[in-house]
Amino acid sequence: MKRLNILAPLCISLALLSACGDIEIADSSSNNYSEQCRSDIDFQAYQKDFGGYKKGKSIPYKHSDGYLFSLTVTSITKEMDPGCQKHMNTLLESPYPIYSITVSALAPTFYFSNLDKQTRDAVNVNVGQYTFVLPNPQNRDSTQVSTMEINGVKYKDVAVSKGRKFKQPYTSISQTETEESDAKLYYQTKKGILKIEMEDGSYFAINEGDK
Amino acid sequence: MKKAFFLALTGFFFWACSNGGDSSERGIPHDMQVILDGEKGFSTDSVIYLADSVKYIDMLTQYADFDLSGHPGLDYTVKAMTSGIDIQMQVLPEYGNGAIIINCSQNYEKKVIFEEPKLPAEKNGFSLKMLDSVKAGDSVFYDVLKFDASEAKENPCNLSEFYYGIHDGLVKVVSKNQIEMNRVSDKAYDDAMDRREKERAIADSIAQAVADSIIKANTPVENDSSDDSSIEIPQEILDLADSVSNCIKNAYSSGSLSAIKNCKI
Repeated sequence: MKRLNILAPLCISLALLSACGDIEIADSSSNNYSEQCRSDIDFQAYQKDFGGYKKGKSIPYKHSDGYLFSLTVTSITKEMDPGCQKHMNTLLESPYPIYSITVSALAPTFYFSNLDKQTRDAVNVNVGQYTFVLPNPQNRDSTQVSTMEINGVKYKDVAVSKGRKFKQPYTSISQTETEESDAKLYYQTKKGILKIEMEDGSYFAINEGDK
Repeated sequence: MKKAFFLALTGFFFWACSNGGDSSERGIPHDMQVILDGEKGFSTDSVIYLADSVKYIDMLTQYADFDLSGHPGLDYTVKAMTSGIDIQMQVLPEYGNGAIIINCSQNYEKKVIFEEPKLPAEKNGFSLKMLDSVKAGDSVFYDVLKFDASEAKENPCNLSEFYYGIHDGLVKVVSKNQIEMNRVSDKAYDDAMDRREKERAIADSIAQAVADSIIKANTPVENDSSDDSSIEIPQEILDLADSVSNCIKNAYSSGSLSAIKNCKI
């Protein structure tokens, strides 16, 4: 028993020692607001309208410099904020050209749906240093194109949003200040990102016509 | 006696946890000092360019801070304007026994931490090593830190490798499908802008030429008239020319000149 008394603090100290070692890579801790909010809130319903994006889905695009590539949905996260509002964040990635595009929505659907009109929410798209905001259609500064043909396919009800870019010079991930840019996003509720035109004259567009 | 023993153990624990925590006494580890020495003569270019060997080129902004609130270290960040290249690297000699922290994903909380780094270093399939020189495009860069994620089982980065020149910042990246983008001059970027402008101008001139030829082919010839303004061009012909011209421009802007065949010329 005496021996145990001596060993106990030794074990505790060893355990503490092992804990003070590595500080590891960690995913963002998922917030638990969903537990406080109603549990029956249906994320699935508006995932359906979320640009049709599902994890693993691959969408073909064509770059103005001639590259054919696919954007793959690599992650979809759903979060509940303290006000029990739903947030859906989608990450689209391609190995080359190296793109990591985030599409996040606070709105129940993406754009131009009847549900959107009831709120003042927006969909945000981030590409490189550009940010595009697609606000509620009734409160928007973006425009709508009734029909647009891209790579041989016609798309109806396309929203066009002028982008902003980080104020230069960009020096830190905590930088939030932006300024006007000539970049443009063409977006449709059903298909999501149709086309993005950058300020440098390059662009990429959905390429369903070559299927 | 027991209390004294426990206190001694606790004391040992705190000593072990903060072992060498005062790095000013211990000195900065050599490999980290080499990176920090890059401050002397570090490129003042806050805007840099990376291009592949075909056509793709991107502008990036980089920023290096070698003074972390009065402590030695490096806080480096580089972010591309159009692509997803987005890297942060911190060299922190006073973090425990020193650490190099790298983040190259959109999730800023997914970091790779190399503790007590002696180069070459390895951590869960990620590796860091110092190279004397690296050829990137037409240039050679000296004293380059190579980060390699190609062997990592779970790679949060959207690239496979990047190369950080201690005097130059980012000099090269390798994509997950092994395509290299190398540092190029601002002239290469300007040339690319000119090329894109010319391509747009070509599309516009084709569109105009086709519109003109439609109008010409459908304009009645008035042999006796010396006044061109008296020739009346039917409105449907003007509309057709306008429509075809716009169709050609749209075909270009949608990224497919082959779509011109659908323009009902």
